[in-house]
Amino acid sequence: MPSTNGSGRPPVGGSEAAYRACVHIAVFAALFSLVVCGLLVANWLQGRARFPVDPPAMVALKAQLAKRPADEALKARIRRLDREIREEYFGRKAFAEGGSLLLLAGVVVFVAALKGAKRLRRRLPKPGDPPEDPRRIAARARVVVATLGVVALAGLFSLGAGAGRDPAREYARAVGLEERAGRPRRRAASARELARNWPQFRGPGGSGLAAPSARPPEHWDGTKGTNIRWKVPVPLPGENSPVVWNDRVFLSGADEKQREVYCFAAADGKLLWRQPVGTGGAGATPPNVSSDTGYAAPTLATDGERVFALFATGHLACFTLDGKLGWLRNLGVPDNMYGHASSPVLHENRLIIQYDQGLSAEDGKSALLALDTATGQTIWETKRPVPNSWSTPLVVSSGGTAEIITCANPWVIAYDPKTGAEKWRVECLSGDVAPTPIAAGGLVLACNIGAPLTAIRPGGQGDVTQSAIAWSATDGIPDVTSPASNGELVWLVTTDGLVTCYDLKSGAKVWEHSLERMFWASPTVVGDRLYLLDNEGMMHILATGRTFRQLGTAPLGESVNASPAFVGDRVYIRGKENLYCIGR
Amino acid sequence: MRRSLGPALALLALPAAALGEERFPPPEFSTGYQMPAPTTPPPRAGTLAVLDVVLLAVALSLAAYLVLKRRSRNGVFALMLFSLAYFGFYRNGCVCPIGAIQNVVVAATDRSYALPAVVAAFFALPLLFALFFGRVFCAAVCPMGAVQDVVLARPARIPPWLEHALGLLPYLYLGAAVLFAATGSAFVICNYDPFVSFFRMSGTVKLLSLGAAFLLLSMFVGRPYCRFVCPYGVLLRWVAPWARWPVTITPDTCTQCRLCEESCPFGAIRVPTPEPDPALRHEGRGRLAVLLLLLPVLVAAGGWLGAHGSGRLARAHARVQLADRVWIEEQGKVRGTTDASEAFRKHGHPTEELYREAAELRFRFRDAGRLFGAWVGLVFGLKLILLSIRRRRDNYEADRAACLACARCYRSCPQEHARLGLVIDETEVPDAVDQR
Ligand code: SF4
Repeated sequence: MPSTNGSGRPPVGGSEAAYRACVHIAVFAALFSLVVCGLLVANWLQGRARFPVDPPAMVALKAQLAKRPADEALKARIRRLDREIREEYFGRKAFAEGGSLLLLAGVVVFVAALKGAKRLRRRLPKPGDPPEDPRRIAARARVVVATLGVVALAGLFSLGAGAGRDPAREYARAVGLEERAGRPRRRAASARELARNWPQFRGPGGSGLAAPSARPPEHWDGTKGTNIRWKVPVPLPGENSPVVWNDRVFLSGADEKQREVYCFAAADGKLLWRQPVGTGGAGATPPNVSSDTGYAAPTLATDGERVFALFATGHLACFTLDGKLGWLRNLGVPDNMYGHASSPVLHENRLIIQYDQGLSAEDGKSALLALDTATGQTIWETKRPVPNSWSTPLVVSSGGTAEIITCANPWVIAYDPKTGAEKWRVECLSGDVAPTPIAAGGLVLACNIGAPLTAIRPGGQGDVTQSAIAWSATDGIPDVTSPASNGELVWLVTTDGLVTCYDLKSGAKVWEHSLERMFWASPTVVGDRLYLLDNEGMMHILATGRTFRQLGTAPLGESVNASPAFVGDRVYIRGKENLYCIGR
Repeated sequence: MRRSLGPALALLALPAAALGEERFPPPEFSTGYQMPAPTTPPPRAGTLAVLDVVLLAVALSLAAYLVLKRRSRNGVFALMLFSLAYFGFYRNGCVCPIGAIQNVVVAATDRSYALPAVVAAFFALPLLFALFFGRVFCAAVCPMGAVQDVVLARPARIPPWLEHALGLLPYLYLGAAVLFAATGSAFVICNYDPFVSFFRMSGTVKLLSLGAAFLLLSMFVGRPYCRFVCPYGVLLRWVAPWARWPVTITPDTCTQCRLCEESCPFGAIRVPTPEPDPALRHEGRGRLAVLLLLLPVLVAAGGWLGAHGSGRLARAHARVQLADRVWIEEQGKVRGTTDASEAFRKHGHPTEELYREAAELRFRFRDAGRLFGAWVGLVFGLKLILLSIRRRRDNYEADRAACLACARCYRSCPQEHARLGLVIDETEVPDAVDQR
């Protein structure tokens, strides 16, 4: 037994024979492990050479089969080959598994023997030179740590190198998200600004009531150009109505292939910009829509900083008023029988979208969404127990808190705009609901053909069908147009031209009169007049009194489906082909 | 040399087992044979999951008892073998506290994710025990530590300055793991777990090679993963210094015999500090002041660089990769499709939503990258500061943060021999270090 070893320390304990046995076992185990290892590696390499997913022989045979699909002999060959490859593969797999276990055993024996040998040759501790001064260690460590730190930071820097060629920059720009950070969040437009404009479907309050400042002409003639300030063609078709913000008028247009948003100068009708929406984006297969609805039925909405456009393909785009893409989303192609028509509306910094889909409520596809107007990100999404619908949501204030009122078969449901939580619901609708609800005199009015006009007291909780209905009426219920009210009376106009006037407080019918024209555009109350635009472009101007009195008519000379916008002394009307600005 | 070559080659060849991982297409049957539908294996039953937690708690208690009360290396070794067998080979190395970091991060950043109670327990229990008894989890419960410890044959001494530097890597790894978990990209700790493929006896060639390399290294470097990689070790390092009952090398008073000096294979024994030199004090203060001023600069620079490099980091996210690919395909910059882009197109989802999602993810990565970069700056800055603070030590001590509570050093202390009644004659040489 040697008295010292390489480390200069005397070994202690253990018999020589045991030690030798351990060493021999360790050597044997190492050799065994090496052999097993070699076999495993060979097996692996061979297995790789015959890669089982697409062996060339099989690929070639399958190519032949594609040409001669009825060749039974060929099929049999393929099956034979498939079986051979499979058998070899699983054979190799079993070999590898068995080999791994043997290898593991070999390594375990090797390590155990090594440790045994080591234990039998334990060495006594023998302190050498005095330990190094910790200050020296720290000094050296500082240098190494600092160097490593520089390397780490350089590594971070190198990550950012070449970012200019990053495709993400390009597609982020394409969906308008490239410079979100640092974009100042603008305060919401004031009620005054909103009232001065026509920011969404059915005007500032969404109820078809023009601002008191509106003084539209009582007569015009599109065929002769009387009181027509300008008329410009709109490039692509669309059933959406004009929205207006200060000196700009916005529309959208779309067909099966393309979608566009337009901005016209209010002063002269010049097309200030037109922007495509969702170009270069495959994936959204255009839905089937009826020709009456088209691909651009939803009216745009603007908060005075951005304008939002929704299409039947589910594309939802946000542009600045100057036409710069703010953001772009696709909410998914809506499953809508006629094509999506409900317009987005705004509440503070939220864009509210009623996205009702599916033929029945059980489809579970309908939802109400609130998106952040700045980023397009979904703030909340609430599932709705309704089938597809075409009605636009309405934001009302009840007792100081806002509620989003939605209409669809069979419910009028109110939601909290902050959280999307349902507040109350009333069962009073049926059929394919298209008319948009209005708010007047502290009531919410909802209707659709096949169900009554129902006046609801908002602000309840839960199902308030039994308690919140102020009154209901059944005559002259429209299937497309929405009601209008001046706070005292309510008017309905049906598609075939029957105008019915109700008392808002009692629900008593005041008068009815048939204009014998077709109407799809919704009526608007402007001061003491009710403006009704028929499908041939004739504006019927009625007095808002308790008796029917027609004050006049004004022809446009072009058929119209969209509802007009009344701003100041002007009326903006989208005809089938052209956008008109009417004013003295 | 002969001793080390055998296992070295053996371990390197373990990737051969990887053959078992490759996929195979289903056979094409000539008859009307119906392929059975794929099924998902049921999750581990609730009671068994609770059993895991109970066993973890028992193992931790036992480890604390063996390390601190019995001071028994043999006991610790036996418990370590049990943990290796149960938590490693039987439970396939999952759930483990190291990976649980990521679940905790996701639970903190994603409201839709609920942290399973078992995972929470695995994350918290070892930390809780560390608060009382030091890193007893590392000592005998962690299967990853155990597998390295078992193969440790001839530990090399890592120079302390290098140990300081390499000891920062786990902090960077922790930062990266948090970054990728918080952005929903990947569980990198699990994806790059070098030992899990051994526990499961199956894995990719890459992972098995990585594991083999670590095991090979573990024969000569004491627990390299635990010391220079493990992100959970970072958390334990923060907690263990406050341990109520920490590891003490000597059961009595230290006589500064120096016999334990080299007994720790993990470089966790700290030597007494020399008398302070008044001449150097001034220089030390100046350096400390500079480093303190440098700290915010490093944090800010790291934050900026992290945000700057976040685009590259974001490509770790599958959705970003897909969006990048679909975009260049749409722009005609590449020909052909990948499996992912083809699947995406077949699904019929609008590309805008994909781009949006990817662009939004990049914003998240920018914020996360900024935090990660700041973290990197903070780690290096603080380390430099800590290296410049003088701490006084009068005796040989186990560094509470670094000590893995393996109980190896006990037997090197003559006082321990006296305690055990092994020293019969005062002049007798104490028993040697057990380097098992
Ligand atoms: S118990 Fe002793 S030997 Fe083990 S890690 Fe701690 S200091 Fe090192």
